[in-house]
Amino acid sequence: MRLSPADREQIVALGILLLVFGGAAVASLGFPPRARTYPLVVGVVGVLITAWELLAFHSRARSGPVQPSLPGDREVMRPATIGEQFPRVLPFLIWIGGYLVAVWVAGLVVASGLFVGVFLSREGRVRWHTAVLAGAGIIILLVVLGNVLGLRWPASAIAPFQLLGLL
Amino acid sequence: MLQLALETLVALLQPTSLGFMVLGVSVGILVGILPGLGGTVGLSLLLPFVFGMETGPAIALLIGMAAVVHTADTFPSVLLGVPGSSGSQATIMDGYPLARRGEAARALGAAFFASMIGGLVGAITLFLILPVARPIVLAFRSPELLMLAVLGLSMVGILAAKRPLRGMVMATLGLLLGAVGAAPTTPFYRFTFGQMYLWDGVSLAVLALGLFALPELLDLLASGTSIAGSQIQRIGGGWLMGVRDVIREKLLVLRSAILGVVVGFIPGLGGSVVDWISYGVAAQTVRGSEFGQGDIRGVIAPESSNNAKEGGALIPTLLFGIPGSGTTAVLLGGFVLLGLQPGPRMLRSDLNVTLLIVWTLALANVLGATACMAMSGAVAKLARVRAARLAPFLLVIMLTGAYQSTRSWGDLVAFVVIGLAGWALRRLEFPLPPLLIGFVLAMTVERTLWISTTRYGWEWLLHPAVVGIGIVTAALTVTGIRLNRGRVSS
Amino acid sequence: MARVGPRLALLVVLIVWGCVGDRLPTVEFIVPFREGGGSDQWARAVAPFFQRHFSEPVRIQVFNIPGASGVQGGNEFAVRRPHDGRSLFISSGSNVFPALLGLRAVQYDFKEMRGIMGSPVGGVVYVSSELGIANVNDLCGTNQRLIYGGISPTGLDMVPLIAFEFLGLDVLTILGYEGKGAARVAFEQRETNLDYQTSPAYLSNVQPLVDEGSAIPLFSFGMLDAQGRVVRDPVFNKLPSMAEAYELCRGRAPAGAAWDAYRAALVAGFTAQKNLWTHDDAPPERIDALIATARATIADPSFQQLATRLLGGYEFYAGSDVEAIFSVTSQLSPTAREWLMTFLREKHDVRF
Repeated sequence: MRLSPADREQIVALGILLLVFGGAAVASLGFPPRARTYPLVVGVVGVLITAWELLAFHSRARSGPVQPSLPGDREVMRPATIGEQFPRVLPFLIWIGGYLVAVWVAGLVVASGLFVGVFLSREGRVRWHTAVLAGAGIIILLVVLGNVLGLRWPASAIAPFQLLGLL
Repeated sequence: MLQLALETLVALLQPTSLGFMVLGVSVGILVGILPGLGGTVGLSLLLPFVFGMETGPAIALLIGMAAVVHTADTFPSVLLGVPGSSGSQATIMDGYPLARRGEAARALGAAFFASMIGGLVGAITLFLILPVARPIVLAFRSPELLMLAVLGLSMVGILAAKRPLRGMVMATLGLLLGAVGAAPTTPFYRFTFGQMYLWDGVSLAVLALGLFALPELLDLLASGTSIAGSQIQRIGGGWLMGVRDVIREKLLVLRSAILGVVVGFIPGLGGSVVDWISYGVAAQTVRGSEFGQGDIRGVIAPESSNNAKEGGALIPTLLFGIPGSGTTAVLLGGFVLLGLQPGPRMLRSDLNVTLLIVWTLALANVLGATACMAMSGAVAKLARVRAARLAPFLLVIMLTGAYQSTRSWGDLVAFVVIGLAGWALRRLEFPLPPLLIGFVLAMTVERTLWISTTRYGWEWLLHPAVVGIGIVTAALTVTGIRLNRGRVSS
Repeated sequence: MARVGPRLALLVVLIVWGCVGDRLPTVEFIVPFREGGGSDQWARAVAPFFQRHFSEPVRIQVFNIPGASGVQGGNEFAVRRPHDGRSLFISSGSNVFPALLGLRAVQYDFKEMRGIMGSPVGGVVYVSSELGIANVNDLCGTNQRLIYGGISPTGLDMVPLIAFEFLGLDVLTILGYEGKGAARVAFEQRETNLDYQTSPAYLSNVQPLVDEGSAIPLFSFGMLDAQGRVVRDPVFNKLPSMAEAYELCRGRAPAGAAWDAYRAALVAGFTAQKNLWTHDDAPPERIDALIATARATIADPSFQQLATRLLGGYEFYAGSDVEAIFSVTSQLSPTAREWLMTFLREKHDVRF
């Protein structure tokens, strides 16, 4: 029997869930009695219904294409598989990763200004001065909100920037 | 009593009190709109000012803030598919599809108007029920609470409509996720992988943001469009249409609001599930609905109940000094700073304070809803902005919001990790709301199950209220499955 | 427009810079718990007075670092904050007990801190009137089923749990309630019939039950005096203290490892419940300034008014009094610690 890529992803996902539930059940055996019962029961129940769903899915997959669309999700004609969609999302994940690294280096306030500015000029294709203004804008927004609402954010991990991070 | 009520109203209408209420409402709207922030942040911002204030204006300030958070948190839920606070998650289910169809203004109008009515119902119920509420609250012992949590869990089947089994898988995952961190019954830390960040478990705010916000943002960016896509935004009068929707559905509004009050006043159940329960019940009982595809009733039901909830949640807060929701927990702190000790005397010597709270709740709801409606036309245009220009701002705000949860890097890491997992699960058509419901109820289930069995053995299964709630749960589940079958075959 | 944009941006950045540079020096109160809790209320009540009485203009900021029952915030304070006397830490029973038990995750040590100010609280044990118990003697002789509801054996509940054990009571202990308020509601629901509450909660919510006859107060946990004896609680001076309760039940004065453990837990949880600390290697002149500020705060009449509301009749203490009161806890003998750990392990399933 040949599985479509979408079906294969489903089976992998259900397999991972099985491992998560099973792993949790096994790990909970090492807990003291009062902390054990709940995770053990939940883990075992999880294994059982995931296995059930896996079997049900398998028989569905054999009998024909799967019906897409769930309530609560927007309507999609044919949902792209993770394999198809991931390359499209990847650049943005790299952006987010870069942003987090910048937060770590320079603190959230400075990093956010930079991130907003650079992202807008690259991906948003706005004129450069609009990007600079937006970057400054988000810094002001953060500082004002931070002072008004008493919010905190990660400070820089590197000394010279810590002064900036105080913003 | 009536005369005292009128006197309190007059006191509230003094410029000072009114001014502080407006200030409170403004703060409430602000923290409501910002994803990840909610009443807790708003109240902790106001607490330093409360000290040294007179009781009247201080109450107006605090309650004014708490009353409108669940009005304003609708903005991000509808426009961006991002929960503005933990009370407006269910609004996403239909509000966001409406925004994607270009009907954001209508959804917002309906939501705000429903919020207002719900808030008023909450205030009135609080007023009527307070004198007799003590025995009602006392009727909910641990076994009854457990059954109510089970009732909440049974909503999962409905929220996952055509794939109840997958809904159950996700709910179980949520229940498991809720077991991370300190066990409620013994000081032992489970599944922490050596990370102290996980000692207190995953934070609800981070989980909700990660599950709903990040996946949506990623897919939007990948598609390169705006939220409303190529749909043309209906200009003008959109929100009026929403108001008319609410008036047409007045029974649904009333029903959901009462449900909100009831769930709110049961201590320990937690206000975070009220919108889901209300959404689930509506989805099950409304005929010919298109829930999940952008049905306006899917917005009206949770919005009516999440504002009404605050009125209900104040009942245990005022009478017993135990919080009915996260917001009321901080509110309690404010009361103590004011020299108020919530307890039986709130109905006797401090009755005027209680009445003031009721009036503030009612007025603030009207004020907040009006302000939000006035803003909705302009804000709705956000749905037309291209994702690439909106996303960086959203990301900054979401990260800042997530970081407020415990103020450690763990929050940011958890946000991204949960977001990626949520993205994959959503791609694979696993319904995410059940996960959230399981997570929210996990602690209550474990706690009350442990207490019930330790205290009563298995005899608690025969308590009349337990049996009653059990029957209701079964009936709702059965009709739900039938309705869903009917829907699938048609 | 193309010209205005960059200039506007620069201007705005400069304005922000200007606003920030002007800031007052900050003194930080680290609250290791969530907003709205007892420690948070305490910090927010003290903060404005501290600011007012400080020798130089400063800004006091209350900063919540919740997590791991207060251990997270303690570790942050001990490991990451500069030892400059500008960073203060609030301890409460919940994060003293883990240190008392020597849990591995705890990276802070009260011996490396200097106390600035602190405050006590009391606790009263009461029973349901349905049990037919009128006093401590009845309690020790009862054959009724006693049911106690609490939160966690390593939190404040440790004090009543040791007390019940030491008195030789046979109690069905249900730990797992969401908070002490929830446990009190459970008492009213007859889910439990034996409970304790801290003084403010007792006065506002249990006293009405006592007045209507459904609850009966039996004894208070007592307070530790300067000589290390457990004496009557000043707010509940009509009730016997735990020491007297023991004598009434057992006919002799309390002593031994269990009693030492009780006294240590009593100090950590009640007699020295909330304390404000800074690092002990901070500049001495700054420590002195902090203690002077604390004394001025305590002497302020409007602060006293607030303190009465907050604590229900106990008095704040400052400076070296903090360490003096706290020493019973920080210098717990190895045998007493061993007794405590065995008790928690065997009776309450605690794993260390």
